[in-house]
Amino acid sequence: MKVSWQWLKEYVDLDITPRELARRLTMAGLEAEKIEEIGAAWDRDLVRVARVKEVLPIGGADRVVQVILELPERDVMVVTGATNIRAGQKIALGLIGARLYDGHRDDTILRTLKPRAIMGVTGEGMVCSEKELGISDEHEGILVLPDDAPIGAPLVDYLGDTIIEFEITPNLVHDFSIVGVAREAAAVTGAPFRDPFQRWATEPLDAPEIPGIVTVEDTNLCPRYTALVMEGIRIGPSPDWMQRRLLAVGVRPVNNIVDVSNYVMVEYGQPNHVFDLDRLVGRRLIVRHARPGEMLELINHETKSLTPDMAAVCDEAGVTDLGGIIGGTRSEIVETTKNILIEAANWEMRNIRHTRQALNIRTDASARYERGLEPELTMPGARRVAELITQLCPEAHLVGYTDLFPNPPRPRALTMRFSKIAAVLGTAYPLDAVCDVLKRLQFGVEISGDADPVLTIAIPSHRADVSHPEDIVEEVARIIGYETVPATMIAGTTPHVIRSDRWIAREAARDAVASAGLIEVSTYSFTSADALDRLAVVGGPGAAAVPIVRLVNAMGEWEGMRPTLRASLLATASDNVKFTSGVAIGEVANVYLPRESGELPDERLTLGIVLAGTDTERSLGIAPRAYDFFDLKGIVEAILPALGVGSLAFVSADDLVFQPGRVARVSAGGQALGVIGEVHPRVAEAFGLPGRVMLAELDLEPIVASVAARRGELRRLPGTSRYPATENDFSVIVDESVAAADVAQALAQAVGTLGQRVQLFDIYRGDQVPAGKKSLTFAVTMQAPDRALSEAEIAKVRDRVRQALAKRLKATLRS
Amino acid sequence: MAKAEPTIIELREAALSRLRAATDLETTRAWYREYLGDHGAVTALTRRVASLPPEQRRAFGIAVNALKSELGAALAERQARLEASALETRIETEALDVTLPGRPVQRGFLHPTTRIIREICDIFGKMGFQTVEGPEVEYAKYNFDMLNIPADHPARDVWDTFHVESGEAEIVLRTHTSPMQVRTMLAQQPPVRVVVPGRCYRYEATDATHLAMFLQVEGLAVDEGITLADLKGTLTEFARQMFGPDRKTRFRCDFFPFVEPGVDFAIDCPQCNGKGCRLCKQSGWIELLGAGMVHPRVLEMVGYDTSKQTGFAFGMGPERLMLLKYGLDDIRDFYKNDIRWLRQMDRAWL
Ligand SMILES: [Zn+2]
Repeated sequence: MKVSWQWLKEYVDLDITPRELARRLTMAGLEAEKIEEIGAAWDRDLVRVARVKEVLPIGGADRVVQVILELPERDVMVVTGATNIRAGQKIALGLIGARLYDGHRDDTILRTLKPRAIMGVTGEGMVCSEKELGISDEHEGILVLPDDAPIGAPLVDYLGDTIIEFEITPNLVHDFSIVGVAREAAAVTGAPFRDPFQRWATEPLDAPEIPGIVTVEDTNLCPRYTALVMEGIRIGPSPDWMQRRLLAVGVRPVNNIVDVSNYVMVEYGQPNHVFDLDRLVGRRLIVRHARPGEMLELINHETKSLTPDMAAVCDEAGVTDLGGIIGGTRSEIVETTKNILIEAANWEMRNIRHTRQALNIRTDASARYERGLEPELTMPGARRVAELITQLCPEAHLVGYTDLFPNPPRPRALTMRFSKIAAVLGTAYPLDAVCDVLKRLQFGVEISGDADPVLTIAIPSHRADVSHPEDIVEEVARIIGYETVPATMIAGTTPHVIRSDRWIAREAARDAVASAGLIEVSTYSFTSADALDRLAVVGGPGAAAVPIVRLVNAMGEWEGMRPTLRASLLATASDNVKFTSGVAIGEVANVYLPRESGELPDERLTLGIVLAGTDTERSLGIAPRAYDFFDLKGIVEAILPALGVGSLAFVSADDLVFQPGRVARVSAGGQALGVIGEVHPRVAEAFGLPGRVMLAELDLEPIVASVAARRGELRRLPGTSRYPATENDFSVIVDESVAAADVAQALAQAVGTLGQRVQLFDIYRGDQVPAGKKSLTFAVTMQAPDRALSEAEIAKVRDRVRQALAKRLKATLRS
Repeated sequence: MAKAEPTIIELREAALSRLRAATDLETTRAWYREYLGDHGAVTALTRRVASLPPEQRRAFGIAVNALKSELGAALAERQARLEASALETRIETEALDVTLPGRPVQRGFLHPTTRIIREICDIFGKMGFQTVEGPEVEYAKYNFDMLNIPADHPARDVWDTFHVESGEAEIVLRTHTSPMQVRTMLAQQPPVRVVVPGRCYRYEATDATHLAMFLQVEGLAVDEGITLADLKGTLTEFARQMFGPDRKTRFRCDFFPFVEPGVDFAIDCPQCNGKGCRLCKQSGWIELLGAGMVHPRVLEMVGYDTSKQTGFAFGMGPERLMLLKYGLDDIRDFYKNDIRWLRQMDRAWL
């Protein structure tokens, strides 16, 4: 909400700068988001009010004219192309050297005015448009000032103002007006507040009640409806001072009646609406629920279909106004309006919010009502409208009123102990300081008891946001100043231990990813049909078949939560391959699997890895190598043991995202973990990835569970031997069809407990072995816990291995 | 016997001169075999002792042994000298151009969001806050209602919300990690002191300063006697740890439905040191986080005794924190995962 400093000063005497007030209000909870100084750039000597004496044509020019302007000390000649300039006008004169904006450019850069010849004539300055002065974007004509503008006065004295834009948080409806901000300013500065409402409470309303002019069918929709009827209206423009104020706070002037209506909403915070009484069929209003399908053309010329939960303001012909939100065209003020009905009503906040959401309309009125405006404000608001109209239309007069307020809320109060303030804040203020603050905010305070007084606090009607002692604590602290609260550390007892196994497992997995040489990435949790379909280009379930956690309000292509990390990581790799020769990335994040309707989805911690391109950049002594399946497998074999997962098994698998024959299912101790493999060339292509791409996706939930299960468990390490280890090679000749892992397993079993490590390091096919066979050479490290191994012992192991391999795999040992 | 004397001398002369002539270790080893080995000349002399008359044997034996040890010592010396010179030669020839490139290592590293979350949780961890986590897809009941943000209240507009297709129970993508406040308090009696990191979502167009998915770290402390001053102390300590001891802090009134009194916690702008610039919208201050004393209604809804318990809560955006700390200008970079950018962040971290 924009607040004009000049306007504000009508209600509070301030001896501080606008900037300082903005700072103090910000500290107190009313945040000033922007401060705009109108006229800050206007040099007092160079930008001034002047009167147009004469407008003279320039020979040969059809638009450009020469203008003689009057200043008290001398006359000034300027040249202008403005078509709205007339002799006798008061205008804003910028003399050479003044800093102004360029009316024909879209920037907001101040430029110093220099002498310039137009049609051969060089003026001494220029007559300014609003844009050139920085007031608005209006640059078609010059700014014409009101007649009361004093000739020669610095323009900044006449037009200058400071506009402070405040953020009105949902609790601050009482600050949603000039008067509200003035009240707040008075409270934070101690300056006296000129409360306009006291006058309306005491001054009698000098008009008869008109029964039946308004009927409210459901007071739940409309707890209070105040209407004043006036006659003798003459529509015309509102005075310049009013237009200027409205423009300053961002409201476009329309005509005197509409301007007054808006003026009072800004000033008092009470939205109101003026009907042309003669255009209301039956000359009366009915407030009721809208009928299903009832249509209303709004003043912005949109037509909306209403539903029965909405509040309709109707005449005898039907709905004419959407209560508390926006008016309709049928009864709005027109040029010929003579008699009016001023509505200042109070509308139920939840219903207003609901209606404006359903119709997707947000107005200044709805913003106030949905924050919970006090019903006490309607009568002062309506009377202020009538007062200003009387000022603007001397023939206008009040002829009657109605005020439907069947259930005025009872005055509210709360009691609290004085000590509560110190208990919440951690610092104590003197009782009289607390009372002073509350009184400045218009709370009533009564004190009883001595040791720890009980405060009985009457809550003013405009403070619906206050209901708990804690609210009072905040009022006191924010006005005295949060800066007076000391900084201490928590003193209490040690809290309970709440350990998150998920956090521990996830962070360990992330460390393992980085330790394995991968760059950790973090990608959006969303998924799209397009992404799921790309994964399915070879076959398998696409977007239509994969159940996902679906968003009601999709954002662009993001339709739901991803059920897999695959697409996110392939897309990320694809984004990167243009810039780098190799991509080795990993992500540890959730995937989301839908459960039964109404249940939260299964959020599964998942590890994804993608390798693409080459393992290194080209460098001396290293030949870059394209990543392959075994790079990926090696990484997985490095990561999982770091997460407490041993005895991994890799079994050839089918998965249509991968190239057949190059994909394995990973499990540990019978527990399925996921899939690793080389991405099918067509899937890689679908993601824009050239070359071979490796992809792993592993479910980490079993690891989370095992971290939880092993919590507090004593771990026993196998221990290390201090005797030397010996490494021996075992070359096994076996049928091509036998899997290497089976040979390794048989070998390890035969070696027995002496074996520390069995590692395949060579595969040979060729002259040295029979056709249809291969030779697998393993390095076997052996060590005993209690002795150095002798040649004889190793020979015995070799014999045992020979026999076991022959028996189990029909394999022979090459010597 | 007169014949034997010159033989030893001759042998000695010849051996020593041959040894002096040896220029490599291999020659010295051949020399050893020739003179001192099992079939060497000196060894052969030893065997001749038996054929001498007994009275000469002693003297001959002494002479042969003397020769043997003299030659042995000479060999050792010669070999040591040759070894030393061989090493010298090797060192001379092996000099490297140390400016040649090191062999590249594929170093992996963590994403900046992982690092900042750990940093935040560590700082609060030292103040006794434990890290807990909750679901990202959450009941509206926990995300809003039980945090004193009722349906049809304008406070809900502060959070543009992603809604999830579901049955009767309203389910949303959590708009903050605050629902974990409720879950923690429902599960646990006070004292409670936790921080809750995690992904959050808002239905908001993504631009340089807004993300539809972002991180939040929520904090909660509830116990008897916890005050706003404790909140101020805790947050001030956090800001000092995160941004250094010289940053000024600002603690001002603000509104969040689940706290009362409410707080906005800011530091003086690191880019202009409080003078006012575009980053801080000329205010000189950068809002770091929202906070306040847990609203009594929130405590009531989880069944805490509001006559005894008070607490504070705060919530911050780690990405925003990093924008400030590292002078970044586009929050989207965190989730673009451009490896070049990630590497720059990794190198800028410490
Ligand atoms: Zn700044």
